[in-house]
Amino acid sequence: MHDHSDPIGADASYDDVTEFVVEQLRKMPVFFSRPILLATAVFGVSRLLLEGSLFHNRPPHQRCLQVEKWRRSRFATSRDLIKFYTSLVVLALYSRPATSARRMEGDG
Amino acid sequence: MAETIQCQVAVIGSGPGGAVTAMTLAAKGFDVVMLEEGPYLKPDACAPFSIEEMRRKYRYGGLNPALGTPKVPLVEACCVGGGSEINSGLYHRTPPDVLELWRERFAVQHLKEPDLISHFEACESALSVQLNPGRQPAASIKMKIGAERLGWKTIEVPRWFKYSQMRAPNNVARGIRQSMTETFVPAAEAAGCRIVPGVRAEKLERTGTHWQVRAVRQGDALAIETEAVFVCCGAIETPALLRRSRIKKNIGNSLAFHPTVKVVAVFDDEINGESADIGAQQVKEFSPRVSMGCSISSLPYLALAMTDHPDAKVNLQRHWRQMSIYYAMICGPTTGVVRNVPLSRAPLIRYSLSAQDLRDLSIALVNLCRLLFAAGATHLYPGIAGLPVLEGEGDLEKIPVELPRNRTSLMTAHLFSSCPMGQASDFTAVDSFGQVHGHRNLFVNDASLLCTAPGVNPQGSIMALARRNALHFSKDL
Repeated sequence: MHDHSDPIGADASYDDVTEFVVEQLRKMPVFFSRPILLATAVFGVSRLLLEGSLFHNRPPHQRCLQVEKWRRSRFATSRDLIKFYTSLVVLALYSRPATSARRMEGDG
Repeated sequence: MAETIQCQVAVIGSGPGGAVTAMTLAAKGFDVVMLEEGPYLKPDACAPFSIEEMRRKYRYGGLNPALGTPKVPLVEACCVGGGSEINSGLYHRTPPDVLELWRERFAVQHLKEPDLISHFEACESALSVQLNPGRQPAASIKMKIGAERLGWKTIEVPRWFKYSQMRAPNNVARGIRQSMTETFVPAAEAAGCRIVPGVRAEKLERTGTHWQVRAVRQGDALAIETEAVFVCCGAIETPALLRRSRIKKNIGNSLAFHPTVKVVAVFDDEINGESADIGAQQVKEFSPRVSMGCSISSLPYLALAMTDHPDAKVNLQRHWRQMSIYYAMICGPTTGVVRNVPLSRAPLIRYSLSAQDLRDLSIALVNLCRLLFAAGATHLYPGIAGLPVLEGEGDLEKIPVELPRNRTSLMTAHLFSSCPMGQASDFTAVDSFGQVHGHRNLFVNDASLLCTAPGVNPQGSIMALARRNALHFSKDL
């Protein structure tokens, strides 16, 4: 994985990123947003029977494994779902002023 | 009872087609109302190519891709000024061979180059179309170097920019994009045009000798009674509005665009920076079938492009200044359709790339990579998920001869041809001057008119045709 996992720092809040993703989902045509929400729900509960927990209740490393598994899935729907969220999250994360600030510091 | 606005001419949409139409007709003394679904924002309301711009100016948040395999993300604006507020400002006149094709195949009248010169010149003057008087961005210079080393034809494309005398370091000129809100929109207002933002046109109805636009503003019904309507909502929303109004003959059946594939290039030296502008250098060696150029390469866009390569060992934070995004776009005969969907405001777009398109994209991509290696790139990351990094010409054979449908990331910002013009009424939607066949005083005057993909940035063609058609309407051509 290339180094874009944490452009702002591990202890930072991600509320702004979540807000951006939710806002974009609301703006999408309903014939896209509803299937995406449905696929997201399936993603969230997909390990419930095997692991006994929902995605958001699982430890971070297990969440990463699940995301990775869906990203490499042979099913296009699974890959598309991860690609959709990854694109929005990456755009939002790398657009943070904090990212620029840290970049400037890094430039010395 | 719906609020009612009365006027002589209603222009629906305020992008390059609508703004030029409104300004031209208002200046001729017509009582013009220009409706726009999006907000009226100042040109500097948000930084160019930022997510703030995506939030405030993009239609559907930029998330209404053309369905097909692969899906193709489309970029459309929803604000006063339309696409001119979010694009890179690159300008081309319509190529003469494209005009000839439109005249011959679609029977478009009065469309020879001399017929359009005055319209091109008027728009170029109003928009300050010019070459960059300073030094081109470094990423653009790389493209020029690569083309020259290969002996390929390359040009610097003019832009609608006003440049300051002040220069940034390295003699880079600072410019302000002359979008519609800087030029034709205020000129239309000055000529007496009424601009009404935040209004969505739902339907057009003929009432005797007049037209009525049924619209919604902040949830309230609004009616516009008018003698003539110019629909200028862009290549997706224009056919959607006409089809909602039960006007369907050859409407929304022939959407065309330029499918575009991108490559992230890494160089040893710095070619990118905080104030990096989009390079205006384009490679025309394979034109009109293939065109190549520079793309937005800010850190967020680089990070986005690299999501196709999650295993790449690239430290974006450290190396992004050595990276830039380039594109290759093709111009082919494939067309898609625009259809309304029950219970959805957004129309559905279907566009299936042919196997030939994917082979052409592969050739375009290989040539773009060859050019970038010639320019000194050390690593290339094409927009194909799972494709290993390319480290030299020998790796170009790793690019599949036909780009894989389920792993290729494409996009487009050039949309047109959903209501093609011409006298050949069997397969055109409007006549040579934009009047919808069989519907007096109902016009289309935007990118939808273009008969086929022009193979170049389309805004110059859109504005020249809009001015030509508006003047024809005013009987002053």
